[in-house]
Amino acid sequence: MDKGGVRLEHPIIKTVDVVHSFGRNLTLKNLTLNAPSGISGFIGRNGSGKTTTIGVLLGLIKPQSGKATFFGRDCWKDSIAIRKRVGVMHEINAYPVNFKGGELLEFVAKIYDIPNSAQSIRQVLGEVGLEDARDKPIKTYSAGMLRRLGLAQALIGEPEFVILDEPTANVDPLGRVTLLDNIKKIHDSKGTSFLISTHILSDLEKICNWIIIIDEGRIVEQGYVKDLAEKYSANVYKIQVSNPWLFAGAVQELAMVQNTTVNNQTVLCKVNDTKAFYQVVPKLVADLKLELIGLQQISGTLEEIYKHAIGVKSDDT
Amino acid sequence: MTHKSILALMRWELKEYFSFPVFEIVLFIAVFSILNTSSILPVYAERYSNLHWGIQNIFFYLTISICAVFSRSFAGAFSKNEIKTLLSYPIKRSSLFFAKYLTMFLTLLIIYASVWASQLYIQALSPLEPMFWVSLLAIIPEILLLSTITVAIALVVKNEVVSIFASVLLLYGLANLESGGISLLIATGRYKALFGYFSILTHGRLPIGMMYVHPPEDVVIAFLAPLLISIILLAMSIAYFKRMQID
Amino acid sequence: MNKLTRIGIILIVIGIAILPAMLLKLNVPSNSFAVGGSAGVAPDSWTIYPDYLWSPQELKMNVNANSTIDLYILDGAGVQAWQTKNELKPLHSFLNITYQITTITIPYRGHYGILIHNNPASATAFTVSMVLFGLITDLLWSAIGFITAGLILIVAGYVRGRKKYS
Repeated sequence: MDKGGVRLEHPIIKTVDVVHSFGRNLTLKNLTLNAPSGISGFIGRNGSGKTTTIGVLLGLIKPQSGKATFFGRDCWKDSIAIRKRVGVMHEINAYPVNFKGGELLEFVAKIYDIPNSAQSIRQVLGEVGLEDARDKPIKTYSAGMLRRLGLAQALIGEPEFVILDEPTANVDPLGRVTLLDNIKKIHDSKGTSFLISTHILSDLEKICNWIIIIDEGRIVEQGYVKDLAEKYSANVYKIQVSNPWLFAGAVQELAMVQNTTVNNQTVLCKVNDTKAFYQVVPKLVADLKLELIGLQQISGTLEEIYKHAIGVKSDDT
Repeated sequence: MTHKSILALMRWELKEYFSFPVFEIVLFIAVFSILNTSSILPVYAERYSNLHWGIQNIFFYLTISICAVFSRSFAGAFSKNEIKTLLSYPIKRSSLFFAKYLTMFLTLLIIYASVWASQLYIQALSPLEPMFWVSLLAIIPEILLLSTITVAIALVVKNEVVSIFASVLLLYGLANLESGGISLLIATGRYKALFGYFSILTHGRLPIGMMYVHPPEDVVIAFLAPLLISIILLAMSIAYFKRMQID
Repeated sequence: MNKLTRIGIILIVIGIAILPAMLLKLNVPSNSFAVGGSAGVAPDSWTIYPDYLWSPQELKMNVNANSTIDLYILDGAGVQAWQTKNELKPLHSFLNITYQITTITIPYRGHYGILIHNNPASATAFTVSMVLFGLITDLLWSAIGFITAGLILIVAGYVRGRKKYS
C-alpha cells in the first residue's frame, strides 16, 4: 500500500499485541498499532491508554507481553537509541521552574549532544514564537507559552519524530490554533513526523493524515483519514431537490433508508445500502416529478469516525 | 552519555532541589546544629574531645536534612513527572540515578563538612589535628547510609511526603533501638567507636567523656558496615530503578 | 533572583544561624569551673593551672583564700613562657588578695592558664571559682560580619539588577 508518499509496509511505530497492566487494572489489551511518517493523530478518551502507549514507545514502561518497535528497534531494549531520534512533549511538563526558557533548551541540547546549540536554540525559539521569552524564568510563563516551550524542547536538534501528548491542553483557542499551525509548518518544511495524542478531535482534523483510535486499551480503528472518512461516512447522502419535503416523505418509505432529515432545502439520508440508494434516487425523483439538483455522499468528520469506531451515538468526546 | 550530560543533569538537580529557600534551610540547620552542640570543655589539652560531644544531636538534624532532601529529589521527582520528562530524553536510567544521588550527596557533604570545619576555630584546633579528620571521616559513612536508606524508601513509595515520614520514622526508630550510645546499631555508637579507637591511637587515651573502648573488630564494623550496607542498598535501588515502570 | 542576591541571602542565613547557637551556649554548666581546695599550698610557692580553653567572653572569678595570694591570668604564650623560662607575662594580675569577686574580659579564643603565688610564710588554702558568661564576642562579630556582607551583596545585586533593567 502506498498512499500519498507514505509507505505503511515500513511503519515508524509498530506494536503487536502489547499487554500492560497497573496492578489489577489492565491498561493495554493486545494493543496493535502502526504509525507511518507524517502527522498521526492518536485519539481516545481520558484513561483510554494513550499515555501508557506513549510510555511503552519511549521505553518508560515495559509491556508484559507483545512487541513494540520504533524505527524497527525494540522500544524497551533500545530505548536510548530511539530517544536520540525522538522529541517528546508530555502532557505535564516538569521543567525546573528556576530555569529560564533558554537554559532549559541549552540543557536539552547538551543531552542530545547537538552541535552549534546556540543557533539551534535561536531557530527553535523562532519556530514556536518564544524569542522574547528566552531569558525569562519558566515560572513566569503562561500555559500557552509552556506548551510552546514544550514543543521547542521537543523540536531542538531536528528529531525525526516528535511525540506530543495533549499538546493543546490548557491552551486558549488562539494559542491552540498557533500551536497546531506551527506543527503543520514544521512538518511541511522539515518533514518531521508527529504523533499527536489528544482527546480534542478538532485539533487533529486539519493536520493529520493518519488516525489511531484507542478505547479501553485497545486500538479500535487506525488508518488514513481519507480512507476512514469514506469508510464511516459512505452511508450518508446529501440530496438537493426542487421540493425537499415531498422527497423526504417519499424516501423515508424505502426500506434501505434508516432516517431522513431536512435542513436548508437539503435532504440528508442515512442508508443501509449505498449502491441501491444511488440507483433508486433518480428514479424516485422522476416518479415524484421533481428536479434533482444534487446527489452527494458526505465525507465523515473525525468526530463521526471516532463515534463509529468506539460505537457511541452521543457526543462522548 | 557524556560527561557533559551528567554535569548538565547535576545542574538541573541543583537548580531544582537546592533553589531558594531549600539550600538556605539545610545550611541553617547545619550551622545551628553543629555550633549549638559543640560543647566547649574547658580543658585545652583535651579540646579535641569536644568533637564527640553532642554528636547525637548533629545526627538528629542530619537525619532530617537527608530524609527531606533525598525524598524530594527521588520520590518528589515521580510525583511531579520529572523522572518521566528526563527519561524521555536519551538519558540512561543509571546516569539519572547517579546524577541525582551524587548531587544530593555531594551538596550535603560539602555543607556539613564546611560547617564542621568551623570546629577547628571553635575548639582552637590545628588543621593537622588527626581527630578532626577522623571525626569528619566518621560522618561520611553515616551520610551514605542515611541517604541510601532514604533513596530506597523513596523509590518504593514514590511520594515525597510519605517518603520523608517513612524514612524519618524508620531512622529514628533505629536510633532508639539502643539508647546507651555505644551500640554499633546506631550512628552515634559507630561514630564513638571510631572516635575512641583513633583517640587512643593518636593521643594515647580515650577522649574526655568516653568510658568504653571498643575492640578493633568493632571499629572495623563501625566503618565498613555502613559502607557495605550503603553499597548493597545503592545496587538494589539502581537495579529497581532500571526496571521501574515510569507511568 | 540574581547570583549576588542569592549569595547575600546565604551569608545572612549563616549569620542568623550563628546567633541562636551562640545565645544557647551562654552560661552552660561546662563554662563553670574551680581550682584550689582546702588542702592548702606551701609557703611562698607558685601553683599553675595551665590548661584552659576559653572563648572570648566575660570571666567572673570568685577568689577565697585564708591568707593573701597573687593571682595571674596567663594566655597561651604566657603559660609557655612560665613553664619553659619561668618568665611571668600575665594578662591580668590580682595581687595580695584574700577575697575578691572580679570580672575580666577574655580577649580571644584559645589557651589560658591561672598562676597562683602564695605570699605568706604559711600554708594557704584557697578556691577560685570561675564562670564564663556574656556574649561570645568572636561568634557575635562573625555573625554581624556575615549579615553585613550579605546585606551589602543584596543591595549590590539590587542595584545591578536595576541597572541591567534600565
